[in-house]
Amino acid sequence: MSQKSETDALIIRRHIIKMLELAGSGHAGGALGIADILAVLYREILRHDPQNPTWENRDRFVLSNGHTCPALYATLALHNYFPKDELWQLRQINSFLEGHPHENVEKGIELSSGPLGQGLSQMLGMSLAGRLKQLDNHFFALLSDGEHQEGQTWEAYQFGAKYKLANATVIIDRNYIQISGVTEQIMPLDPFADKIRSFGWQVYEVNGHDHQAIYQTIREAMTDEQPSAIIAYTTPGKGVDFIEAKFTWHGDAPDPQQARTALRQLNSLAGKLDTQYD
Amino acid sequence: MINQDSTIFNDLSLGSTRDGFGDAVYDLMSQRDDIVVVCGDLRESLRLGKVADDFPDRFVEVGVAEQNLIGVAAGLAKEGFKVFAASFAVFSPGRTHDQIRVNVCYPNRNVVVVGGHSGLSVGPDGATHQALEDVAMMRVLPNMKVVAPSDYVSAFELTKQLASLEGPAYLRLLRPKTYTQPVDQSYKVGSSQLVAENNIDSNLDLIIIANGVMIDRAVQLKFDLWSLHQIKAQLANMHTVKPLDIGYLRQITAKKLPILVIEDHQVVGGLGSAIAEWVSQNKSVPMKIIGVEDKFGCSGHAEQLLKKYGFSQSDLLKSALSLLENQHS
Repeated sequence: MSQKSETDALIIRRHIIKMLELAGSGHAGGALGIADILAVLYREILRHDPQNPTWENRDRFVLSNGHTCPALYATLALHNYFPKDELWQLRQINSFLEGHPHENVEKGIELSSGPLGQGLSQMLGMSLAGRLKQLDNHFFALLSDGEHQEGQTWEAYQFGAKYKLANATVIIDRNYIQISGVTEQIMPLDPFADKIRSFGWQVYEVNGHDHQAIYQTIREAMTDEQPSAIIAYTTPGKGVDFIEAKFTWHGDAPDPQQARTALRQLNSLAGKLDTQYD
Repeated sequence: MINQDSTIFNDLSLGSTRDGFGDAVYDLMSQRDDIVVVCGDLRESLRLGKVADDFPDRFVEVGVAEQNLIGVAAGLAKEGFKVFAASFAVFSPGRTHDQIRVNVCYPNRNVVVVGGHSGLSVGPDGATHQALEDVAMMRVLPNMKVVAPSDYVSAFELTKQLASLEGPAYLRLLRPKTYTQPVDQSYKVGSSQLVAENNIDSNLDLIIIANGVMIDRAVQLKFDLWSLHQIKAQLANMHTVKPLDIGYLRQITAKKLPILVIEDHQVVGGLGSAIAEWVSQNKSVPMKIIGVEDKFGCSGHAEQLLKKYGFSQSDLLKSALSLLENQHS
C-alpha cells in the first residue's frame, strides 16, 4: 500500500469543506469522518474503471447514509468520474450532485439514498443479483451507526445471513453521533459488534482513520465465506478541530470564516505529508 | 363474489386475479431468465408456490420483512433483473411507501410491487387487512404505473405485459374469485376495455368506469339499468389507474356523457379521483364516485361488507339514477 490514499483523504477533506462552504448547507461531521475509508476503498480496494463506469464486473460501492455524500462526490471527482469543478455545484439547481445522492452510475453514484436504513437491503439485493449472474465482483455498503436504529437494517442483516452473501461487505461508520446527540444517549447501539455477530455475520473492528488497518481488514473480510461487517471507529469531523466529535456539526456547513480556518488546519496536515495536492 | 338473481353470469367462468398472476409469473419464469420473485412469506396466498418449487434460485423469500422486501427487489432490479415484489397490499405498499418511493420510483427501477388481498373484499380479516388506500399511495408517485385487474384473464395478461414494460408498477390483486368477463379487445396496460358490450354503442346515457372486484357488480348494474329502466350504459374496465386512459376519457367527455365510477378503495385518491382530476381540467361532465367514504372497513363476509359500505346492487342503481337525474340541475 502506498501513501497515496493518505493524500487522497486530505484532498477529499479539503474539497468537502469547500463544497459545503459554497453550498451553505450540508453535513460536515460524517463526511469528514469517512474520508479515510473512502480514500482506501477507491484507491486500494475497489475494482473499478472510471472510464467504463457501467462495467458489469465492477465492484459496487453503495453509500447508505446519503447525507455524507460530499465525501463520496469528492472521492469520485478525485478518481475522474467527473470534473472537479462540478463539486462546487453541490446542492445547486440543475447539478447532478444532489443534497442526498441520486443514482447516476455514469458518474459513479450507484444508489439514491438519504432516508436511513435502506442501503443495506439494496446492496444485498445487488449482491444476490451478482451471484445469480455468476459475477466474481464484490459489493460494499457504507452505513452510519445511527441508521442501525432503523429496523430495516436488521431485516437486511437477517437476509444476508440466510443467503450467505459472502460477496457482501458492510462498513459501519461508528462515530457515536447523530443529529440530536450521542448515539448511546439517543438510542444505545452497544454491544454493537455482538448484535451484528448474533445475526450471523462475521464482524471486524478497526480504527477508521488508520489506512493500513482499514486496508487489511477489508481484504480479510472479503475472503470470508459469510457476509461481513466492519465496524470502523471514526471521529466525526476528523481533521478540523472545531468540528471534531461535536454532534452539533452532524448537519452543519462551515461559514466562510470557519472554512478558512478548516482549510488552514488541513493544509498543515498536508505539510506533514509533504506531497502535492489540490 | 356477487349475488345476483339474473342469469347474466351463468355462462362465465370463475377465477381469481391471484391465480392469473401466479400462472403468468410461472410462464414468465419458464420463458425468461431475468425474472425474479421476491416474496414476504405469502407464497401460497399469492399463488407463487409452484414458482417457489420450480425456480428456487429466482424465488427469493425474505420472510415477514416488507421494507427489506422492497430494498432487495430494488437491488436486484438495479442489476438488471425484472422483479416482482410480492406481499399483501396492506403491508406493501402499506408499510413500504418510502422504500418504493426512494429505492424504486426515484431511480425508475423495474420492480412490480404486488399488493395482494386488497380492498373490502378480503372480508373477515377486518380493517387492518383491508387495503383501501393503496391506489392513492401508489399513483401519487412519479414513474409509477398502477394496475388493478378484475379477473383471472386480465390479471394473467396484464402481469405478462408488466414484465416487459420499463420502470416501476403497482399490481393490485384480489382475494376472492370473480367472473371472467368478456371484453371488446385484449387487455392492455394503459387502455380501458369495454365490458359486456351488446351493440348499444350509440345513444348512450351513462358511462360506468370500474376496475378490480367492482367489475362484476358494474356488469350487473349495467344490466339492471337497461332491463329495469331502459338506460343504456357503457362499462369500461379501467384497470390501469396510471397512466390514465386519456384517449377514452376524451372520447366519452366529448359526448358529454355523465360518468359513474365504482371502486373498492377510498374515494380520496383512487380511480374516481384520478378521473375527476382530468375531467375537471379538461371537459367537465357530471360525475359520481362510489367508493369508501373516508372510513375504515371491518370484519364480515365480503358480500356483507360491500353491502354495508354502499356497494349493494340497489345502492349502485340508486346512485346511477340520481346521477342521471341531477345531471342537468
